[in-house]
Amino acid sequence: MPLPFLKLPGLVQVEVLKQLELRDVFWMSLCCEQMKEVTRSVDLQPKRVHYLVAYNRIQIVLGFLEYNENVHQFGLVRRISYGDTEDLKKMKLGGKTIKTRCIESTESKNFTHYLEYLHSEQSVVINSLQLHINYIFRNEPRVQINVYCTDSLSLSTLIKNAKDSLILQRLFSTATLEYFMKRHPTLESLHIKSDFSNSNLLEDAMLWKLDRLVFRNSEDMTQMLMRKFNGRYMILDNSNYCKEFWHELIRKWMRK
Amino acid sequence: MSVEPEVPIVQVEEVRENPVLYKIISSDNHVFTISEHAVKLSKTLWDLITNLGLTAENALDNPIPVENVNGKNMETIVQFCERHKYDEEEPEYTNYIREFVLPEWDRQLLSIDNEELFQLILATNYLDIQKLMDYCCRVIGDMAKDKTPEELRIIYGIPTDAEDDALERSASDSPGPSG
Repeated sequence: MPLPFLKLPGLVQVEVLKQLELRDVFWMSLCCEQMKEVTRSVDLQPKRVHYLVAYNRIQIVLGFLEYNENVHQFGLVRRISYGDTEDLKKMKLGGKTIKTRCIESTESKNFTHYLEYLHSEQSVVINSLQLHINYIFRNEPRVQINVYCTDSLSLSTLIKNAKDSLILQRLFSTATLEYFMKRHPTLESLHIKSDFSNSNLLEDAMLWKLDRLVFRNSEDMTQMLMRKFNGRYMILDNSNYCKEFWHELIRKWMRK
Repeated sequence: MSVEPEVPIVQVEEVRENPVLYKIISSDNHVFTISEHAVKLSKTLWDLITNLGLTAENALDNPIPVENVNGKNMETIVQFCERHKYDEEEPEYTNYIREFVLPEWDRQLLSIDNEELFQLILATNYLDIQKLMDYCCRVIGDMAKDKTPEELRIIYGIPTDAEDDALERSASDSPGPSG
């Protein structure tokens, strides 16, 4: 006999969800509309939702502290373009009906399953997924996008209202960065952990208007970054700077 | 309804070191004795005892009837409360995942079938025993570990949206009490 979860008193349902791993909470929220409502009642309040975007998949992790690397795995979705898709079943996600299936994950050590969707429905699925997550967490957590490769750029543009971003791909070109920033006009901070193939950033590049900028391996770009950045916080790693750069920066601050 | 002569008094655990004992009668007329420290774990029972003005002198002469809990569940509850009566209070927890280890003794106690577990949770909820509720919820939560939505629906008897809609439709189509 199944344990009739939805017949338990509401407070007990919420207590049970509080005992689960967050990734199990995600699967529970996908069972049906009623379960989505129960998940919302748990009133989990993550400070940040990170969308880790790779070529054909998005991993969702949650951060409950403002600035903390300690994050909790939440969900994993993967695109399928070919192969046997007959076992896909209709489910409601973010108010839309889409076709998905759960497949055992052999690659991820954090997740036992993927939620797979059709390439042809990608835009609707990612939009619905974000709506679903926004609905569950009513505290409106900050959205962060982590991009791992240039191949994942187009997938990343489907995530809306991102405030923070982390770019990990090596040899990210200036043009690619500008494209990324144009598609994410709400960005307030950017953490670039890659080497630029081209440091020829325009004077009016969107990058300079960000509030926070973190640059790894800034090296020879240090002077340009210090001169052009107009935001409030900038962290430069592996930088080559001399006293002159600081003089210039301090003069700029004083003019402000 | 007289219950005293027909049913045995169930001594679930020793209660000797605590001189204050209370008697509880389950819905199916089983009588249990429980120590003061143990009964305090149930907010409902302790409020009742306080409101009734029961004292060390008159407690055993005034059994407390609990209509919503049967003898089987009450036995489990009394065992649990006696076991945990001297536990330190749990610290407050933040709004995300609670991390605690379910002790083996309690896991054994709660190794019961789903129907019994469901009834025990209702009883625990009624008697307002936070720790037992946490442990029961952990047992239920463990069933969800690494399961897909499809498996979860089976384990927890959760209907799909389509099934839910169909049920609602059939309920609204069927004639009401007035025909």
